[in-house]
Amino acid sequence: MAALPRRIIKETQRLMQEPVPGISAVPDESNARYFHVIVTGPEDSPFEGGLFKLELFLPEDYPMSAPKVRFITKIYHPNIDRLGRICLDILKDKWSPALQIRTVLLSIQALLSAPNPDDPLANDVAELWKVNEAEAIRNAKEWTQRYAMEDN
Amino acid sequence: MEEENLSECPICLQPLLYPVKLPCNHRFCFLCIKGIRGPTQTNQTTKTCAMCRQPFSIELLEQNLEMNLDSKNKVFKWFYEGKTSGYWAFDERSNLELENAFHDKKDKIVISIAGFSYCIDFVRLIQYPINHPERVRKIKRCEELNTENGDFKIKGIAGLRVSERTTTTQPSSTSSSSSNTNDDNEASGTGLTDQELSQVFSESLQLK
Ligand SMILES: [Zn+2]
Ligand SMILES: [Zn+2]
Repeated sequence: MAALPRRIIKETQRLMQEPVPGISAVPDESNARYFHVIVTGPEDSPFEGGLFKLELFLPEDYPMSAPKVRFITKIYHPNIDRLGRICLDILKDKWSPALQIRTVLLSIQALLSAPNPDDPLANDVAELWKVNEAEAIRNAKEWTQRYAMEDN
Repeated sequence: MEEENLSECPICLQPLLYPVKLPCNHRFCFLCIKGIRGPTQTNQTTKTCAMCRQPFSIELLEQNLEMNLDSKNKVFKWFYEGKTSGYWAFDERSNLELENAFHDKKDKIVISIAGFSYCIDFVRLIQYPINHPERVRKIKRCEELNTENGDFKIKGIAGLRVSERTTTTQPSSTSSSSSNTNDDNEASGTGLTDQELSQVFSESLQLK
């Protein structure tokens, strides 16, 4: 495997030295481009109290292209689909090489606080979120209870 | 949030190499900003600033290089005086930081080499350890080519002796031989390789 770019070494060091509150990101022992991530559900959101596992992978041309991030823990959210794929502009066309692992994870945390059903990925979830927000939030809390609290 | 380091490139997170200032005033290494993707696949001559997304023309990039026109195509190297004779070349990373500070017209900077802090005084062209201001060594800045013209004697890079037969400033020659005389290796005579040195150095950058 090619040598790890200094940028990745530096980002990893800084993540360890100054961790983001509510987020842990640990590089895999055998692959320094693969991170095991845990995001805690933000307060005052239906995800509060949950611990959500994600995987983050830095592609070969990182930071010229965005990291690949996916939820492993099931989550009921209009912008996250069944496979854990995230609909977030900075992970796609709004990516900039000046963004970092840290900023990506902060944006994902913010997405949990502020779901955006007008830019959906999980269509049925977004639909319910629009027509009956109370029920959608109940579902999200239930999923948090069921998938993000017990086996962590 | 950590302090923003103005001499650090926001793309590679290293000291700026051949800095370019875009019309929006954001600075990057020439190669880093040149390498970023355009907003669309169709228009390759317009890209957007990685910090503020303001569009800029890739064709104007070279004009935005912060170096003087006359020195644009020349590579300059910095050297510090040996204790007894000759000059040592600074390691590559330190050299880069010195060049940047020199172009920023700074009077002095503090750099860290293998855990020791050195003051580099560009006005008096000297360096000394912060803790021992009396241990003054001269420093020099030379175009890389001139250093081979017998202008002055180069001992090696950052305390690693180059072989006498092929005195060059190329880092590749440092592995061929390194002497055990520690008399004037004080600056960075820790037995570290150039790579390790710059590793240590890049770590200490964050402390500033
Ligand atoms: Zn750079
Ligand atoms: Zn800008």
